[in-house]
This record gives sequence, C-alpha cells and structure tokens, in this order.
Amino acid sequence: MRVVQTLSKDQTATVVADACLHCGEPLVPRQQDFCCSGCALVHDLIERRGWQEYYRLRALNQGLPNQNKDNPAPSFGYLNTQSYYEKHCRRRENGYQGTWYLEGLHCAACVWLIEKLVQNCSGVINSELYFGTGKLVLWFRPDTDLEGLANVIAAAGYQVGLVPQVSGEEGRDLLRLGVSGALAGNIMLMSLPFYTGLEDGGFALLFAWTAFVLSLPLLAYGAKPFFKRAGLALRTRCLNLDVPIVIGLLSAFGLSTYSLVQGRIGDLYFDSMGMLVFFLLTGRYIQNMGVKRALRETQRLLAAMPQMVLCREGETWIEKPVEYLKAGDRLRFRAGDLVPVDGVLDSAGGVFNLHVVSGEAEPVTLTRGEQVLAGSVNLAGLVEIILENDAENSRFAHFQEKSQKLSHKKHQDPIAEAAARWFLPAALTVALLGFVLWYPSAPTRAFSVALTVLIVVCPCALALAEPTARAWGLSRAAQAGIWIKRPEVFARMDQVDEVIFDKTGVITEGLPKLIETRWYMGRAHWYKAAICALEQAGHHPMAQMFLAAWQTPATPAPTLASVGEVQALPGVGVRGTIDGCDLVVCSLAAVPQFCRDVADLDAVDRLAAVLDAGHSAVAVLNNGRLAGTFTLEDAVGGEVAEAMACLARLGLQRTMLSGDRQAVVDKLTDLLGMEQGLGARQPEEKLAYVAEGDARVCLMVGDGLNDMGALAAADIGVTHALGTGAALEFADVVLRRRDLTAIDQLFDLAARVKRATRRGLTLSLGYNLVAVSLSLAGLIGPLIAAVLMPLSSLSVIAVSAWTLRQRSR
Amino acid sequence: MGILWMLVPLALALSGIAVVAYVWAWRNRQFDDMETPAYRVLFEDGAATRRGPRANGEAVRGKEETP
Repeated sequence: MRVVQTLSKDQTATVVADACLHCGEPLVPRQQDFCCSGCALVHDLIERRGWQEYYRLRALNQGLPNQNKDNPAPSFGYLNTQSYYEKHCRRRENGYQGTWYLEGLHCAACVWLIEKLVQNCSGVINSELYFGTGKLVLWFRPDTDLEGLANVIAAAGYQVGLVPQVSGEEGRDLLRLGVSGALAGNIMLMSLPFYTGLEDGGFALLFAWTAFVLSLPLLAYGAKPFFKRAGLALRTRCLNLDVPIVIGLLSAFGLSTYSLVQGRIGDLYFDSMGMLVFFLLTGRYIQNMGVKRALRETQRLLAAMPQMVLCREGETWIEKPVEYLKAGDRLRFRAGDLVPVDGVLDSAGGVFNLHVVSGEAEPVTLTRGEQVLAGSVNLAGLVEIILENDAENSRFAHFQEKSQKLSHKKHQDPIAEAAARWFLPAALTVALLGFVLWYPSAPTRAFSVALTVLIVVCPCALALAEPTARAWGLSRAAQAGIWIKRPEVFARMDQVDEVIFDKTGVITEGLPKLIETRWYMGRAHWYKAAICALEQAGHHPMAQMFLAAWQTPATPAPTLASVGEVQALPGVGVRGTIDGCDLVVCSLAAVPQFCRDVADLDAVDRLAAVLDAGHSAVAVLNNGRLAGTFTLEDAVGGEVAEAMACLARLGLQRTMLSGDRQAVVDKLTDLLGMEQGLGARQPEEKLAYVAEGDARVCLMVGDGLNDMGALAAADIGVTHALGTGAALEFADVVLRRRDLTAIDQLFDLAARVKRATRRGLTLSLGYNLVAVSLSLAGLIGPLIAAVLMPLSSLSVIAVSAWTLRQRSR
Repeated sequence: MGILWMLVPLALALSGIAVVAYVWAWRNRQFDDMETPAYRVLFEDGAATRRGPRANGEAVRGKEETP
C-alpha cells in the first residue's frame, strides 16, 4: 500500500499504516507494530526516556517520501529484456555493466546485506555499492536473472530504480585541481626568493627557469578548460569570463618568458599565473560540487523502473517494455496502474485520475471508444486499451520532445555575460592607454606597462567572486531542502516579475481532505473501520483520504468479523458486504440509486444545497439507509497563504495556471488573493502562456506531466520531490518538500548571493582600479603586484562568506 | 649555498612523486566513494580485503572510460 507521510509540524511521528513504528519498513502479515525485535527494543528505549522528539525530528529532516510514483508495486521484468541491456548498460567482457539506484540505505548493515544478496546471485561477475550515492554497479553475464535479484533487494526493503539516461560526466576536475595545486605551489616556492630580494646571479636564474618549466604543464593541462571555453565563446562570437582570463594568463606567461629570455629577472609573473589557475579551478570545483549534489538528488527521485505493460499476443498476455508497443496492440491495466501511452478504451467503462495529465483533481469516467491519455491512472477494475499509434508517436512523446528542445536553449548566465562584455573592452582600453602614454618617453617600457596592466586587471578576483558566492548559496539551499540544478538561477531570481503556480499538487494537495463528517446511525467507530476496509479492497481513490483521516496509531481500528466480496462501481463508488451489512460508499448524486427512504433523501438534498463550490460530498449507505455523509475539500496546504503573502510583499504578480475548471481556480485565487487565475488550460496552452513575452521573467512552480513544457519554457522552473518524473527532469530547482515557503527562502537566498557577488565585484574592481592607476604611473613594482593578487582573491572569498553568513533583514 | 643546486631538483622530484601518487589514486577510483569503505571495515567476513577497488577487477580509469 502507499505510505502516507505527513510532515506537518504538530505531527509527532510519521503516520504510516502497516509499517514498523521505529524504522518505517513495511510490515509483513503477522507482524505487529515492529519489523524486528531490534526495532521494538530501540523504540521502547526511546519511549521510556521520553525522547519522542526523535521521531518528530526524523520526520521533519528526512521527510523524503519513500514512494513518490503513481505505480505502487514496481515490476522488475524489464531487467531481463534486451531493451535493458541496450538502453541502460555498457558492454564489458563476458557481459554487461549496469547501474541501479537504491533508496533506503541507512548504515553499514545495509551495505553488508546488499553485497551479500548480490554475491549470492549467480551470473553477477562483480558488483560495487556506493553508499553515499546509493549506486549499485553490477557487472553481469547476459543470462543473469536480474529480475530475481531486484525482487530480493526490494523484498529486503530497498527501492530499486534506474536513472533515465546514463550521465557520462565524471570528475576529471578533481585530478586537474590536485595536479594544478601541486604545480602552483611549487611555482610559488620558486618565486619566494624574489619576494625576499633576490635579484641576480645563478640562483635567480635557477629559480626563474624552474618556475618557467613548471608553468608549462600548468598552462597546457591545468588551464585547458579555460582555453577550451574561451575558444568556444570566440567561435560563437560571444564573450564569457573565460576570454579575459585567457588573455590575462597568456599575457602573464608571454611577458614573463620574454623577460626571462632577455635576462631581466624582475618581471616574472609565473606565480600569479599559477595562483590564478589554482584559485579559479578551486572556485569552479566547489560550485560544481553543489550542482552535482542537486543533480544527484534529482536523479535519485527520478530513479524508477521502466513500466512493463501487459500486452495481448495471440491468445496470451505477455509483459512488454513500453517502447516496443506498436499501433493496434491491446493492453491491459489493473486498478492503480499508470497508462503510459495514448489509446482508446475498449472496456465497458473506466475511471481515471488525470491529475498528472491535465491537473484535474476529480476522477473522470470514460466509456468505450473514448480516448485515454498517457499519464492517466486507472482507478477501478481491469481495463483494456487499444493503442492508436506506436508508443514513440504519442502526443505525450511529441510534447516531451518539444520540452526537451526548450530546456536546452535556456539562457546564458547574465552576470558573467555582462561582466565579460564590459570588462574585456575596459581592460584592453586601459592597457592601450598605458602603451600610448608611455610610448613617447620610453618605447621599450611602454610594452611592459601595457602587459602589466593586463595582468594586474587579471580577472582573478572578478571570476572568483561569483562562483564563491554561488557555492555558498547552493550549499545553504541544499541544507534548507532546495536542490538547485543550475547555479545561474541565482542571477535570474531578482529579475523575476511573475510567479506562476500549478494548482493541483502545488497549491492544493491533490488528495481531497475530509472536512466534515455526519453520522446518522451511530456506531461511528465500526463504520470508520468498515469504510476503510471497503475502500482499500475496491482500490477506490478516496481510500487514502479515509485512511489518513481515521487510521492513526492512537486509535486502533476495531477488528471486523468478515469482509465479503467488494465490488467497484466505476464512476459511482464501492459496494461490499462487511459483517453481514450491505454497505455502499458513493457520491451524493448517486444516493437515489441505492436509497428509497424519503427522510434520507431529504437529508442528502439539504446537504447538497449548502455545499460550497470546490467541495464535494460522499455518502455511506447501510442496507439502503443513509448512515453517514462526508464533505471533502481538495485542501490548500497550510503554508500556502504565508508563502503567497511573502511573494506579494516582494511585489510579484502571482498567477494560477491550471488544467482544472475555471470555477475552482477562481475560488482559490480569491481565497489566496492571487492576481490572476487561468483555468482549463491544456499542457500546450500552459507552455504558450509561460513562453510568451520576451521581456517577462517568470518562475513556474508545477509538478505534473502537464507542467513539463511550462517548466522547460520558464526562466526558472521549480518542482517538488513528489512531482512526476518529467517535472523533475525539466525543473531547474527541486524542493525536497511540498512547502511553498521554500520559494520565499529561495528568493531571500538569491538576494543574498547577489549581494555577496556585488560586494566581491566592487571590492575587486576597486582594487583593480587602484592597482591599475599605480602601475600606469609606473609606481607599482611587479613584486607588489604579485603579492597583492592572491591577497585580493582571498579577500573576495572572505567578503562573500561574511555577507552570506549575515542574517537576512 | 651550492647545496641548492641539488636541493631544488630533489624537492621537485619529491613533489613529482606526490603528484604521481595522487594521479595513481585518482585513476584507481580512490576518491569516488569516500563513505562505503569506512563501513566495509566493520564486516567480519573479510569482505573488506576482497572488495577494494583494485581487487574486484574494476577497470582502472582510462581516457574516456566512465562508470
């Protein structure tokens, strides 16, 4: 069953039905409260000391939902297909190598257990488990029963998933950083004698030439990424920060080598060059670590098994991977299955939840011949669907392709662009000025002055200011449960003028909540248990809501004598016999079908009359008499109003963009005081709304398949960990919890990063101005310049760290 | 001070050894996973000795080879 996790602050523990009270592992039948005696013991210890706070904190901190997919019971059949070998594995001698993502690793025992399980699987040649990332790398022969292995691991309580595409990028950065650090340090060492006054003689030549030799690999290997990116920028005729860096590096190296050949030991800048490369690599490495962490977390959320679909072949039904499906195939889906392709319904009727497709919160009833869209979840009974097009030709696949294109051409980094655009011409102008000023009086000196200017203006501090600030911002954000996949987000945040929200799943919780209950025949306790049993057995969409409302550890349900046959009534409700009573749970409108009592019908009418728009109601009937009514509301998350108020204070336009009915949207926008509410929008219309207007910068918050395009098109796309895979893939920012106040935090953080960057830039520009004027006047010696340069870099780092540590106003 | 003519190359050689050791460690994936080996030490069935990145036959990191 689905694990219901609640993260409200007043909740003392994670409410999980059928799970161990201590570790949260699902219980097997015959176990009560705990999965093992160890957990029972620990729980007892914690209880007796009154440390229940532990469970509350754990729920708050590790609130990562264990199960966020609409597919509750993954089947691993895909792992034994050719498609898995081809799409997810690499060939190796004697077999293949594939990577799985495991969720739920806690401690050494987990590592031990999984390695044991893998060792016992024949066919696996070798394996390695990475605890930190949850990666399990398997090297196996083609005939290995991976399905069985995955089932065993899943049975042990870990979730097994695959990441959509194998990312090829692996850290050469660390190697480069380490080697450059060693080279730069040694160059520094060789330069030390010059700082202390060594000027001439054999030793001076020894040190100078050694520094020269060491700087060759540093330039060729350590600085290679800068040359590469600068070259790329020049070829595409735009500027980035790497261009001035490369000019600085080359001029430093050229001037130093020239002086060395001429025998002038005074003008050596090898040390500055080395430090520049090392600091820049460090800054970028730290920033990349932050981004990588965000990507890793998203990948973990994305990790899932490709769905296998039951497909008719001849007389039998076989499981097939989705991409092998062809037009005309007849597919079968059980209740709770996600329909991964577009098709035509070929059963008498079916109820589908279109929440992820269109944003509509209420289930939709379809009849034979009607179209079922990819992403719909089958809610009741077994349905058959006939495929219209090949899987890769579905509307969904096209939409996904379009979104991919959009997200690839996302904007460049505005600050770095602007800095490079202004910085390079300014530096060149000043250098030229120096050359022109000095040329009449001292032609040889003019050349060296111009070069000195270029080195002094070296954008070291400039290029460091931003990565440092961003690295801090990224790590702060990650601590707050905000994973940022693109650091440029920080630079764009303060330009945002419209925040667009999806409704279902973002503003509202997507699951209706029970707000009012009336009992007409007493025995509420028994009815609660009976309704839960009925709903669960019938796979009714309301089941989770009733369970969440009624089945808490504090109130154990009474045991039911017998649960008879349960029948799902598509589009109506559930019917079944419990303890000898014929119970029906159905919508208010369907009550007359089952009930003939005038007084009861009157009561139903009265309730229907006072029902608000946006509310709905369900009734329970016992042997044709009304036993209870329940008013439901698709609840607005508690912190939404607070988040909206904060955004209003920032002066942002707040828009709701939903696939749900306009009436529902209007009601919510009024309630939350949002400026604009647009309802009944198709996914394509959502995309168009977000993409329109070049000058407008917008932030989109969404979580469904229908938001995928809008998230890709938005300047900043935000989703949360419960979002669908597509949303996670296209969003730039992923929130660990569905808590919209995190967006305010993000704005605050971005403002601070910006402030830190600005201070760093101001400082380094100020320093550069002074240094340049002094060196233009010929007052500053190369020695002082060499000492000042790393010092300015360090001060930039210090300033941004200090700014970010400050409390926000 | 003539000793410097020997000491400087010696210092360079020493740091060269350090760099070579670092490159070796990187190529053998010593930095890939900083957590799990710490746990493996705790296993009593000798898994720690068998499962070092070298011992398990994992290819040494080559030019474009990625895991």
